[in-house]
Amino acid sequence: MGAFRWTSNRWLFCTWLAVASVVGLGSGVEAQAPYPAKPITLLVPFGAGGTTDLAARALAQVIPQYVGQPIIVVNKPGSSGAVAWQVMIESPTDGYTLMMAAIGTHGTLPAVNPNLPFKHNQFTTLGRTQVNPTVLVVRPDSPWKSLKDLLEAARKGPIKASVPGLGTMPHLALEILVKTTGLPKGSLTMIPYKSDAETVTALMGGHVDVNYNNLISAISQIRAGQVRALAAVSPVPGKRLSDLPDVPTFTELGIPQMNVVGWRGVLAPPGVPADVVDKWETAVRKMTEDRGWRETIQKLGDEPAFLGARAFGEFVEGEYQRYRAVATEVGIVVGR
Amino acid sequence: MKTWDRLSGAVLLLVAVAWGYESSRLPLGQPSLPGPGFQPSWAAGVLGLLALALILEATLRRSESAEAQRPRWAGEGKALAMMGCLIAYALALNAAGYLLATGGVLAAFLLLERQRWPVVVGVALVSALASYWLFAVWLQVPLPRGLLGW
Amino acid sequence: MGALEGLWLGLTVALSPVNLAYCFLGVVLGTAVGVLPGLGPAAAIALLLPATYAMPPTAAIIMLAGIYYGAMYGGSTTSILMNVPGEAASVVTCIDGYQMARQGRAGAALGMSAFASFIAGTFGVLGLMLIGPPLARFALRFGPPEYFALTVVGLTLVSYLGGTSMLKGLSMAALGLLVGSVGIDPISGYQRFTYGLLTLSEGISFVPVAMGLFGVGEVLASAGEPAKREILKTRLSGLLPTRDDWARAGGPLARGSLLGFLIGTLPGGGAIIASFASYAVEKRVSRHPEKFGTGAIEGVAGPEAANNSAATGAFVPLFTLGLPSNAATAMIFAALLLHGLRPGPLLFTESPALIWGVIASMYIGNVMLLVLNLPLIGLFVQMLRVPYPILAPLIILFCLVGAYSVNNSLVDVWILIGFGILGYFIRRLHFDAAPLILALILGPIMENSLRQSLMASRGDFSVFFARPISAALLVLACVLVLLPALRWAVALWARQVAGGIRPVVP
Repeated sequence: MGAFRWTSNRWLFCTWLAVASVVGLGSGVEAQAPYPAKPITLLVPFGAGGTTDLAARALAQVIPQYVGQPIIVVNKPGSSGAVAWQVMIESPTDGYTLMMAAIGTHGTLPAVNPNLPFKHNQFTTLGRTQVNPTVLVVRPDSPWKSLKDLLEAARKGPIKASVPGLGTMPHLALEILVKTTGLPKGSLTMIPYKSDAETVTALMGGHVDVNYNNLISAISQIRAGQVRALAAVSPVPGKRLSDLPDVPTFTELGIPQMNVVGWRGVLAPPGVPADVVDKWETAVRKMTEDRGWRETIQKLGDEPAFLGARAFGEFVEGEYQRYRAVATEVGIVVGR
Repeated sequence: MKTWDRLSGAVLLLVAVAWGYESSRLPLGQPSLPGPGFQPSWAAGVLGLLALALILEATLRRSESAEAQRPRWAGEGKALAMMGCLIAYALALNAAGYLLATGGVLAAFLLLERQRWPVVVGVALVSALASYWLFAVWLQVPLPRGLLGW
Repeated sequence: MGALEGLWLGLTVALSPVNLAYCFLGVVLGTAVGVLPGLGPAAAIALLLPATYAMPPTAAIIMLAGIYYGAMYGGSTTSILMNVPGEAASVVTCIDGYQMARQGRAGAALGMSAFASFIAGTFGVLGLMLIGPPLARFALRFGPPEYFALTVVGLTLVSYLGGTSMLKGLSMAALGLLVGSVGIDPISGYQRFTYGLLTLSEGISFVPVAMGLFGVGEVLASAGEPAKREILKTRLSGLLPTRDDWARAGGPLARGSLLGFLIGTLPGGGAIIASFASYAVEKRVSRHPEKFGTGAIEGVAGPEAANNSAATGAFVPLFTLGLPSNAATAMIFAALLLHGLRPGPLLFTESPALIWGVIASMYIGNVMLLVLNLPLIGLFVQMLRVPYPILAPLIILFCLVGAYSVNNSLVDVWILIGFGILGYFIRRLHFDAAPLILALILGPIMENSLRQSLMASRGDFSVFFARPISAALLVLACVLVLLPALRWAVALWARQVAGGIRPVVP
C-alpha cells in the first residue's frame, strides 16, 4: 500500500513537473522569440469550400514564406460570420488568432444587424488582400438592352431581383442603385435566395428579372449566352473588365455610387501589438505581389488589391457607413 | 401504454402551447405575404391539435393487448446515468479538452456496462487517442484543446 | 459531339493509368468519408483541394468527383451497423438497415446497399450522359411555387413514414416543423427561438439531430436490453442478399434510381430528400407496408439507390449549366475554377476531353466502388462481433466527434445530446423519428418557397395553380391525402356488399 502511494505520488509529481515545464517553457518562448514563434490560426467565418474559405486557403499556401510560420485554417461557420468574429475578439491578442474577413462579415453584416454582441470597428485591420468585380445580368431574351431600359421599366412597375439573402452585398447594392437613380422605393422586388448560384439559377429559370452578382458566379453563363450583362463594376477605375470588354461600367453609365465590389482581408482581435501589425502588413503586401498567389485568386474571380493596415481600416469604416446608410433608409434589419 | 400515451400527449401539448406563445411575439404577416410568425404558429397549432387527439384517442381506446399495454421500459436507471454522462461531457468539453473529456465519458459508459477495469481503461484510452489522431491530426478538425492544452 | 462519341473520348481519357489511379484514390477516400460521421464530402473535398493544385485538371476532377459519389456508398455502412447515419443522405437507411442488422442480416443489408448504389450510380451517369442538357433546362422551370408544391407532396408522405400510429407520426412531423423554424428567418430577418445564441441563428443543423435521434437514442434505449446482444452476434453468414431479397428489391431499385436522379437534378433538390421520397414511395406501393421499419430490404434498396442517383444527378446542372446545386458540387465548381476552367455549358466544347473523361470515370468509379465494397462487407460485419457493451460507447464516441466536426461547434454536441434524449423517449413511447427529420428538412424549404412565390406574385395565390408543374404536384398531394380516405370508403362499401347488407338507398 505504501509502495502504491509512493508510486502514485511520484507519478503525480512527474506529471506536475512535466506540465509545469511545458507551460513554463511555452510562455518563455513566446515572451522572448520574435513574433511569430508558432503556427498561426486563421479563422474562416464560413464553412469549408466557400469563396472566403478558398481565399483563406490560397493565402495559407503562400503567406507562410513571408510570415515565417505555417497558417492553420480553421472554419468557424455560423450566423453569417458572427460566430467566428465572436471567437476572434475573445481570443488572446498575441497575434496567433487572426480572421479572414470579407465584405459579408465586416461590411454588410454589422450594417444590417444592430444586435451583434460587438461593434463594427472592434478589431484590428492588418491588410486587404483582394477584391472581386460584380455584374448586373438579365435574361438573354429580356427586352432590356441597356441599364437605361431596365431603369425605365423599373420606373413603370416593380421588377423582380434575386439576391443571395437579406442584407447581403447584392441586396444593399441594388438598393443603392434604386436610391441613386431616383427610382421610387420598392421598384425592385428583392427576393432572397440562399446562395449566389441559386440567384443565377432563378434568373435563368425566369423566376426573376434581374440579378446582381459576383462576376465569377455568372461569367460562364454570360459567355454561353444564357444570361446577358448590362453593367459591371471594375476594380480598376476607368477600365472595363477584361472578361467583359463590351459591358459598360456603372461609372461610365454615370452611376459612380454603384462602384460596389466584394473584398477580403486579414483582421486581428482588438489591441494586438504593433509588431504583429507590421509583420502582417508587410507579409500581405508581399503576398499580393506574389505571382503564384495572384494567379490562384484570379482563377477564383478575385483581383489582388492590397491596402495597408490603416488604409484597410478606413476602407472598412467607409464600407460600413455606406451600407449602414442604405440599410437604415430602406429598413433592412437582420436579427431583430 | 394508455397512461403513457396520455402523458406524452400532455407533454407535446405543453410544447405546442409554449412554442405557440413564443411565436405570438413574431409578426404573422398578411395573407399576401406571411411573416416570420406564420409557419411556427400554424405548426404549433397543428401540434397542439394532434396532442389533444392523442390524449383523447388514448383515453377512449378500449382494450389493449398485454404486450402493448406496457411501454418498453427497461434499464431506465442506466439510461438516465448515460444521459447524465453525456450532459457532463458537453459541460466539461471546452475546459477539459477533447482527449480528457472523451476518455472520461467512454470510461463512464464502459463502467455502466459493467466492464472490467483493464477493458475500461484500455478501450477508453485507445479509442479516445485514435479518434483524436484521426480527426484532429489527420482531418484538421480543431477539437477543443482544454485548459491543459490537449 | 454525340453521347457515344463523347463517351469514347472520355474512356480513352479515363482509362489512362494516371486517371485510373486517381479515380481509385477518390472512391477509396469517398468511402472513408462516407463512413466517418459528421465529415461530409464537401468538407473532404475542401480539405483535399490544395493537394490537387499540382495535379492535371482532369485527374483532379476525377478524384474529387469520386469522393462525392463514393461517400454515398460509405454512408450507409454505419447506418446499418450502428444506426448512425455516416452521411446526411443515409438517414433513411437506418430505419430498415439497422433492423436487418439486428436480425443478423447486416451482410445482406450492406450488400444490397452496395449493389443499389452501383446500379443507381451507373443509371445516374447514363442519364447525365444521354439526357443531361434537356433535363437541366426542364429543372430550371422549378421556381419557388414548384418547390412549395414539392414540399407539400413531401409532407403528405410523412404519414407513410411513421410506424403504427398515424397520430404519433404526424405529431412528430409538426415538432420537426417547429425545430426547423429555429434561426434567423431568411425572408424577414427576425430572430426565431435563438435566445441570443449566435450559433443557433443559422438554424439547427440536420446532421447532429439525425445522429442524436438514431444513434444516441438507440444506445440509450438499448441500455438494459440483454436480449439484443445475442441477436447481434448470431448469423454472420449470408453476407450477400438472397434470391428472395433480389426479387423484392427489383422494383425499389428501379423506382429509387429514377426518382433519385430526377430529384437530384433539381437545383435545391438533393440526395436527402430523394432517399426519403423513395422510402415513402416504396412503403406506399408495397403490399406489406407493415414490414417497413422491421427490416424490409425494400427500405434499404430504394433509398440507397435514390441517394446515389441523386448524387450523380447533381452533376447535371453543374456540367450543363455551370450551376452547383449543393455544397459538394459547389466544391467541384471551385476545383474547376482553380484549375483554370470555367464550369458551364461551354465546357463541353472547350474541354471535351476533361468533361467526358470525368463522366466516363464515373462508370469506372462505380465499378471500383462495387468491387471495393463487397469484400469490405465481411470485414464490417465482423465488427458486430465486438460485444455490444463495448460497441455502444464507441457508437457514442462516433456520434460526439461527428457532431462536433460538422461546424466545429460545441452547440452541435448539445443538439446531438438533446435529440439523443428525445430519441430515447421516442423509442420507449412508440413514436417515430423519421417524420421529425423529414419535416425538419422540408419545413424551411416550404416556408421560404411559399413566401418567395408570394413576393414574386405580389400576394397572388393563383400562381400555385397557374403554373403546370406546381398545379400537378398540388393535385398529387391532394390525391395522396384523400386516397386513404377513399380506400377506406371503398372497403366499407365492399364489406357491406360482401356481408349481404344492401346499402340503404333513400
